[in-house]
Parts: sequence; structure tokens; C-alpha cells
Amino acid sequence: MKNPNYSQPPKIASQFLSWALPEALIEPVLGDLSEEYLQRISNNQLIGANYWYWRQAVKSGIQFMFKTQRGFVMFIFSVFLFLGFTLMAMVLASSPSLYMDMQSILIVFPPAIAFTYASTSTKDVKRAFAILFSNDSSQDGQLYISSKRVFSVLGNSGIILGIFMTLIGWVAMGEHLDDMTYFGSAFAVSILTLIYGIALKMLCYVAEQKIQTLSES
Amino acid sequence: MEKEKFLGEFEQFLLLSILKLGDNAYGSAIRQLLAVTINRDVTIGALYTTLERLEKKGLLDSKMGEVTPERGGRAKKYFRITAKGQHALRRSKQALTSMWENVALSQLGCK
Repeated sequence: MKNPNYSQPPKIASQFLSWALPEALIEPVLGDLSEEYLQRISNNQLIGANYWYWRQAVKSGIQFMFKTQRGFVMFIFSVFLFLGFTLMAMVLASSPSLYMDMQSILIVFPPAIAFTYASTSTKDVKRAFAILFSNDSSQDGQLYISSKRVFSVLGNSGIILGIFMTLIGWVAMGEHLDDMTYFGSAFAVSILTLIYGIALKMLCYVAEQKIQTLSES
Repeated sequence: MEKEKFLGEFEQFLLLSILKLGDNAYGSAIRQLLAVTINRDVTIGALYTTLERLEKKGLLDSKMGEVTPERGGRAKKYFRITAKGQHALRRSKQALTSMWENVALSQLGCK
């Protein structure tokens, strides 16, 4: 007996295509693909049908997403570009592991996220990320304001925590000015905290500006 | 005045497919006809991009059809060639026929 689920096209592929397609084409395109998928399944070509569906969805989705989701694609591209150049600078300077410090990460990111949830709400945070990734410019104006606030709080908390923890590190360093071994490592950790804070602020600034653009379009 | 351009190869294939399919010209049927007739496996995205372009040029018009269970409850989008589309197709065919007149491939260095 055939499993009835087999007649359903791959869900993730369909969701990706729905996201990438213009509104007017979602129904006819997904309908056409479902129809042909079912024909292939009825010819006992389950694996071939799934491969065919994924191929159609990915190729067509990529083709349309540069038109319909241009803002989101550019946002992701700019984030990867920033991360790529940062990594390159680290490699050229010395080694990327030099810039990784778990203590500094824990000092900046979890408190910044906690402050964001505390000063906005779980619902606001979810909606802010949903708007950022949906590229939707048809929502109520108040929603864009609250979404901008989420990224504003997250970014500002990050950089303030970075500065605050750097200053705490400097106080500790001042106590041990005569011990250069302690001074060197403490200085590096304190500066890394500031770097993480600035990086978080920068990403949040870009997200904030993207939401601002969506609200004005 | 700007000269009227001729249709591209793929545009001609699409318009001819729609003419061949008549009242049953929708995305999946056009895609399968192209695959069977000229062995061209186009993605549904490429197909609709060109169909939309032709519609914007006024060479095609479309209407939404019935919802069927095998399409997951989604409607078909039927295409039909307009008079302008038929004129463009005829013009492109005449241009090609004129260009092929008195041409033998061996003259072009083919054996």
C-alpha cells in the first residue's frame, strides 16, 4: 500500500519557492510542479521525482529571489562579506584563534540578548527577525518601529557592555601594572570584549536601517 | 521611430507551444511539450519569466483556471496568444524564411 505522504512534494523546497516567487505566480507555479511531481510518483519514480522537484524549486527560486527578495539577499550578502573580510584581516594579522575568547563572548552576547528581551518582549523579538527576513513592506507602521527598537536595544546593549567590561578589565590591569604577563592577556581580553560589542552594534545598525527602508517603501 | 524587434528563439518556442496546446496551454503542459518535442528541459522559473515578459509586451494574455486536487488545490494559469503575438510570430517566421532562401549549408563551410 502506498504511503499517502509520498504524494506530497518536498515541503522545504515548496516553502523556499513560495518565499522566492512573486505573489501572483505562487499558485500556478506550485500547482504545475505538484501536478508533474504526482505524475512522476505515479510512474514509480519516487527518488527521481523528489530530485526533480528539488532541482526545479532551487533553480527557479534562486532565479526569482534576486528580484523579489533583493533587499534580504543583499543584507545576507553584506553580512557574509563583513564576516569574510574580518576573517581575512584576522588571518593576515596573526591567527583567527587569537580573536576568539569565550569569556568575552559570554560577557557581551548573552547579557545583550537578555536586555533586549527584558526591554521589549519575546513577541517583539520574533516579529523583528521575521520582518527582517521577510522583506515585507506592507505591515503596520507601529510594527516597524517596535522591530527597529529591538535591534537598537540589542546593538546599544552590546556596545555599552563592551565598553563597560573593557573598563573593568583596565581597572584590573591597573592593579597589576608591574606584572607584564598578566597585563598582556588581560588587555587582550578587554579589547576583544569591545570588538565583539562593536561588531554586534554594526550588524544591528544595518538591520535597523533595513527595517527603516522597508517602513518607508 | 524604433524598429520592431524579432522574437527570440525561446520566445518563438513558447508561442508555438501555446498555439499547439490551444485551450490547454498552461505552465506544466507547455514545459512537457517542449521536453517531448524539442528535448528541451526548462525549469518552471525560466518558463514563467519568459511568459510574464511576453504578457507584458502584449503578445500573450492569461486567465486563472480551475482548481484540481492533483495540483494540491491550486489553480492553473492558462495562456493565449493575442493578435499582436500572432503578428510577431508570423513576422519572425517570414524573416527566417527570407534569410534561409537560396542558402545551402555547404556554402557556409559545412560538410
